[in-house]
Amino acid sequence: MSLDRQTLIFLIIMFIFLLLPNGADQPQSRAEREVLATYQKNIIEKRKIFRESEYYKGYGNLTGFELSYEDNLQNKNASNWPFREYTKEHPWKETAKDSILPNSVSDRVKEFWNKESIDTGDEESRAYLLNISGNAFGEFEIDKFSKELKPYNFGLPAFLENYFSWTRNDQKEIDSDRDNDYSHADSPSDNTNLSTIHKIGNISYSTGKVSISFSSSDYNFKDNTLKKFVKDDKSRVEDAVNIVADVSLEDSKEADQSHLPMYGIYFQDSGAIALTTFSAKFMGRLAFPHLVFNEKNFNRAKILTEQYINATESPKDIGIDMMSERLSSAVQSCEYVGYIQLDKTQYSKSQLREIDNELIHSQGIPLPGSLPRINITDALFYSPDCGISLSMNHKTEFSGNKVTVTERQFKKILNIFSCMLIAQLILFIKQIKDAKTPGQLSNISYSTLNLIAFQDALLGISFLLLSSFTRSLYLIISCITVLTFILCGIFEMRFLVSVKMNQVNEQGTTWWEILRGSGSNEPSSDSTNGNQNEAGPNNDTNPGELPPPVTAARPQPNVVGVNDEARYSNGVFVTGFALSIITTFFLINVRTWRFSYRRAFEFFGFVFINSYWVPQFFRNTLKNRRQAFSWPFVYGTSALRLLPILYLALYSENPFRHHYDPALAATVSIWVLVQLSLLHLQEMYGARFWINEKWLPKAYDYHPLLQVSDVEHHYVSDILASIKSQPYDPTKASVLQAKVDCSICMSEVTVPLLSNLAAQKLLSTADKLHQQKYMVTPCHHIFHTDCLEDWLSYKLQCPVCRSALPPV
Amino acid sequence: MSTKRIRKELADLGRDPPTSCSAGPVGDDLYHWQASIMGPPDSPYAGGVFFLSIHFPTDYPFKPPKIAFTTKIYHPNINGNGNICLDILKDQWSPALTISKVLLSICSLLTDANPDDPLVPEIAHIYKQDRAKYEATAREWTKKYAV
Repeated sequence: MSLDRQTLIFLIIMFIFLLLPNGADQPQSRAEREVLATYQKNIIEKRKIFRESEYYKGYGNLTGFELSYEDNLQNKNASNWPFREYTKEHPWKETAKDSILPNSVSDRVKEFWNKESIDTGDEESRAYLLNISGNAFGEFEIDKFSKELKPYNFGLPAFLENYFSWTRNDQKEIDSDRDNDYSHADSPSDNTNLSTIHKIGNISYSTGKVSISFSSSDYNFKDNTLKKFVKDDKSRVEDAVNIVADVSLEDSKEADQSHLPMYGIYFQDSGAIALTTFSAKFMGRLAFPHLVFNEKNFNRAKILTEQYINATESPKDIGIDMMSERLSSAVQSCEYVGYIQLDKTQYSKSQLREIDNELIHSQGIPLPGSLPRINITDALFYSPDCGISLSMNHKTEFSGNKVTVTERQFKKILNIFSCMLIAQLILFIKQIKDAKTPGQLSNISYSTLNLIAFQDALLGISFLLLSSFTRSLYLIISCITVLTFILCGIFEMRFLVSVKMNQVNEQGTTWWEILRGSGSNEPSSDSTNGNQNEAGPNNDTNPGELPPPVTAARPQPNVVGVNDEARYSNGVFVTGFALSIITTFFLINVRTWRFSYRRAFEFFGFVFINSYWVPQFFRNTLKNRRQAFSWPFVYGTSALRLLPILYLALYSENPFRHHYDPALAATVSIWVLVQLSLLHLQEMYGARFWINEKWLPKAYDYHPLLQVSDVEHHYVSDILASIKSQPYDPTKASVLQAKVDCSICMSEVTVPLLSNLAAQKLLSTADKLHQQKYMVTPCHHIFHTDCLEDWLSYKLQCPVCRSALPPV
Repeated sequence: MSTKRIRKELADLGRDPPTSCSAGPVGDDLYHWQASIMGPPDSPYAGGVFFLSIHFPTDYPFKPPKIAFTTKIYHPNINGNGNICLDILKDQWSPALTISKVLLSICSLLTDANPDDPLVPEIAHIYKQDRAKYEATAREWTKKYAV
């Protein structure tokens, strides 16, 4: 592979960028380095306290845990620690006197938490879930006793507080330099009074929605990061496991959202979970084992937490970034301690293990119909420093599915979806085959195809973006992406371009002209299909004469050549995909809107995207055609595009978490049915059934009754020559039979000519039927009906003089 | 429909043959004709006789016949395979055109080439730059291949 100079320079620059040390995590100044060193020493100290802690000793001198709840009530100060000594004879107890949890909270927790445990060896009775990686969604409400809780004033260690005010002052200086406003010198919030800032997690509303996303593994000796710390039997825990939880609290209008990252332990034998947050002012993880209410839990929690901390954060790895992050979460958020109790599943431990194995490495073992869910029976979240206590709202379920189960649901849905895509592809290919001739293409509405293709392009791009976010579903999502792009990029694009090219010369004409059939009995100046021709006004072209010589200069024709096709397809492609990409990003933005706005947008969006038959309805009216698309295509496409919307709106357990919305489903289905019925009415009663024909100008009649006087003025001389032999008296009513040559099949056409208007009565039924057998063009050329109609399906142009012809 | 029309054209050609052109089916196949054009007297192709092959499509007259020169000819709108760049044989086809009219068009194309839309750009270039050279080469080729 030979590199030219520019590529080489580019590669060198990229290399340099990638190899440069990451400057972000390094302290920028000597002061920062000192603060970081102090912080690291602090952490090492606290971890030593943690390692030596025992259940009876209590929390120890850990930031945030120096005061118990009663100490807080009595407004004691942490600098006077310790307040009491603990020994084996007078151990630390889980009460408001010794713990940060007030009595109201711990009593409430003891009501539901960790009540029923299963023996480790028991494999047969109903068990709690082993691996709870998954999500749970529910609602919470503020406890009644929450008002009486007194918030703690968690202060930061002095060195961190100074660091924090330096950074804030630096920022203020930068801001004031920018503003050039010296009145900033003494602003009110100069001191880091942590409790005045509005905090994340400071819930002001009384009820709201909660969603938790757990991630854990089966056992600590199976977890990839923790395995190396499990050296002996003592460090091997078989009935508890570390979890990391992301808790989101939001009010019902989705206006106020709080996000809390928490760490905790899941006790698999009793289905109990305990969680805490952690930051620079609250060393939640280190004191966590003391929040689990008994010594057995304490021992397991201590082993697991130690392994976790050693595995994920060694003190040398703590950089300035992590310190700043802990600091900012200390300042910005409330700390929380959470207790969750799960329900027993209906399966035993051995069954659960089987199910888990099958979900991860599918070997074809049949799974039970209802897979075990994450079912939370009760939960409580307590914030010591914001003085809030939240409990689960028992009116609704607080439950969810494990990650593997959700993935399985997704796989099923996406498989069905790809089959639907294949069906749509087949329908499209059939439709393209059916509408090949120019006449049929001119009936098809460009806007209809455009809307259908736009929806498919949106789907394709969304799935393309989605495929980069998931590993297990990557295969099925990329299959769907490929199928969608084949559908819209190849077939729909081809169809669009051929329709557009066919209708390119309609750009100059107005609706009125098209409705009128491009003019009365004169060749029109801006024609449908084709060529301006100098011979146009020469209606009396001698049939023996050629159309004008091919090399003669012509007025610039509206001929669409092969080059134009490339231009059109590029144009369609580029505008189509640009629009789709912009819309996709707009839709991603819509996800962040509030629920009520999202819902309104959804209504309008779905109704709009499903209105693709409306332009076709109008085009049918315009062209006075009964039908343009084949019925299987119409029904198939409508059904395939309606079904996903119905699924999302009506099936409340759908894995996309779309809310149950029967109004949306009803609106969209009714709208689609209305469109379909309008198309059917057009087919049955004619395309213009809904317009009073009197309002429209008269369409051109191809089968007029001719009189001799007409023929004398406009027509070719041999029509008169053929009636020379027959007697003709304009005063008397008679019907003469004239013969002309049809220039398409070169046989004779018999045209009855009336001597005067009164002769109409003399026409026999045979003559009247015969009227339908010949056609007269606006440029006064006569052909057989069959011949001319066949030719009109190829081109709307007179074969003799090339003037434009109105559609039949 | 196409058979009837082709027969009619054959009959017309027999009854009223155009000067300097002739056409007729090759063997029994009505859809495959051979035609011949005499080089127009006021063109460098004078004196030569050029043969063409004509294939009628099954949906004739709604689709144009495929016509190609079987005799080599030096012309900006006719290439080495004998394909003719003539618009009435492509998108400007009309069912009112007959073989005799098309052959007459080709005759007039021989007299007045269209170098602005050429099939062989080199010949068109010479036609535009050095008309005398073009005519000389055309005459040479006519003598060599079409006599």
